[in-house]
Amino acid sequence: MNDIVMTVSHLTFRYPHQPQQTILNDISFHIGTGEVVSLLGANGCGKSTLLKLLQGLLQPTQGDVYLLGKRVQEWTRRDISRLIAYVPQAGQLPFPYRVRDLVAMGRIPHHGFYHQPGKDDDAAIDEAMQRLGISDLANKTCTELSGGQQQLCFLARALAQQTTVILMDEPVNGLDFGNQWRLLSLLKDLAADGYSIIKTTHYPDHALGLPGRAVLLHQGKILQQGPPPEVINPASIRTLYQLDESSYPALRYHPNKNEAGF
Amino acid sequence: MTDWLLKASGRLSYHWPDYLSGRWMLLVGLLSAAILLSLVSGRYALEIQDIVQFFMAHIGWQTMDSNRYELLETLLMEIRLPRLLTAALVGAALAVSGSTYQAVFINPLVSPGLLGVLAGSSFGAALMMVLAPAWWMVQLGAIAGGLLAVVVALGIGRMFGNASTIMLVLGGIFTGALFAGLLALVKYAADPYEQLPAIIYWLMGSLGLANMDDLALYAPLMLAAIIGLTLQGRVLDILTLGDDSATALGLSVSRVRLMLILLATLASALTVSLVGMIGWVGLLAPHIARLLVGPLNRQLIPASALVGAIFMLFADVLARSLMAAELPIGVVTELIGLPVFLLVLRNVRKGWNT
Repeated sequence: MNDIVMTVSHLTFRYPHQPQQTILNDISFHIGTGEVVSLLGANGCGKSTLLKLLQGLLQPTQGDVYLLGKRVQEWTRRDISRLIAYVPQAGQLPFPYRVRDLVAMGRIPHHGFYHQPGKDDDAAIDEAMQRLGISDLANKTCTELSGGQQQLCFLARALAQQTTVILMDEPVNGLDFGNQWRLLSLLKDLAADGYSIIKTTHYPDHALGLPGRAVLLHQGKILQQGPPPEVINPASIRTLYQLDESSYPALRYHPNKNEAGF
Repeated sequence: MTDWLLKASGRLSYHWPDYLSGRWMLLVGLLSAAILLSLVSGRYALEIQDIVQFFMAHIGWQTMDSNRYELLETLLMEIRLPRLLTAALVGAALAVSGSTYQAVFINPLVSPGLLGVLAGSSFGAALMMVLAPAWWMVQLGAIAGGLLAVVVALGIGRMFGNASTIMLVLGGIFTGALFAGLLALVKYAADPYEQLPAIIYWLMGSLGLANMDDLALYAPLMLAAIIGLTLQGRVLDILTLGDDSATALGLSVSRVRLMLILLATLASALTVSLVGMIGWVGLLAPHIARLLVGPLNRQLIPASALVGAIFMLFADVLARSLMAAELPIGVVTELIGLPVFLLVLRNVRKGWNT
């Protein structure tokens, strides 16, 4: 059964220095254990801001984000870091950390900044790297990795963090076709293990390929939400991306294509 | 109490194997060599034997001709030792604050010099020399000037885009120019017979006036900043991952960043009020240390301190022995810093993606 892990309730957000511009407007959705929520929307629709609000990095203007029934602001940073992990986009890293050291940073919420990592930390690090098949990269420096390997390395850090929720900001950005779908099937496995995953994505077919729900954001509001095959259809894509059906190939991996109108 | 002891001993046992590696031994060996060289070289050259004999006599294990002892005591204890300690401390402070800035701004190309902190501090210190020449006012002026420079450099970096590498460096160049201009104004206003020569000589960076009294005034704060930053290694590592990732790992980013910038600025600003502007050490030492012990700040910060101290000691030996008259140390670090930077830059480009 799905227990509710996070609830977003009537969330409205404006930056204090731009009070006339509403970034997010009355957003409500929730995520249970073992669910994947894909946030879809055009550039600038508020996806990244929403991720920050979920972590408690920004203060909601109205409404609330609940984590395990308690408002996110009421948790301490340390507690949040034991419940929510964040996977950034792969990109240039300024310093050449060893992969294992980078993954080990995920243990900090558990042993703190001033305490020595112990055996359980080593075990969690090794397990996370094995799970993602990057054990052989342990001694490489992260600046020599490809984008896909880097993404796996960040994900391993999130697994080593042993949280309930994993937030991912466009996890497949910059990955080649093979790595994109390998990563998505990995996310499917992680969800089956009980992780709740919230990710932003630019690709409707990536939401279709995953179980769980899609939340479509349009101009700061929720256009539609529900199981991906139900909400991703030519009409919603037209609204989200101003794109006519004839200008993109039929979306694949759609279980009941005809019903949805593709 | 026992819990605290356990934690402390656990921390030590976790760290010490790292520090027994060959690279650390190399650093400690180089530092010892630099210290010895710094004690023996100078206008009045000594042998290592003299040093050993003097210190044996000093602690009372050996007797020595009293005239000779007095000569050596003046030379070593009153001139060379304070000079050595000042050089090492300044080098360590600049290097540690350079490493810290690089981690805090997630940018391997910043340093106290390039951010304009040294220029800001020298303006602040010079202003106080003219207006209120008391040592603590000068010290305060240096710190305030340094902080002001960070604020201006960061502000410019932020004004155009999100404090990217290039904008931060440009912001630093702007800040450096701004405070150089303000400094020129102070020089123009200064009394040309007494104050002006003092300011100019001090600004070129000189260890010639190093003495234990000044050191006693400046060293505690600098040491506190250096030690404080050395303990923040893991925090600095996390900061380099970017704000979102750092927060997700439980760090209160803005509060911690402010504290680290304050400590780093304190350390580098005080070097200015102590010996003037010393270029390049704050940029080079972190890079050399990174080549030696890797990028993890837990080891990088103390290694930078050692590299900075070694670099300054050797530079000071050169300053004293290159010409008949002593050269200002700031001039020497500028001159040897440039070629060393070119050597390091190759590796910077290779491993740092800049």
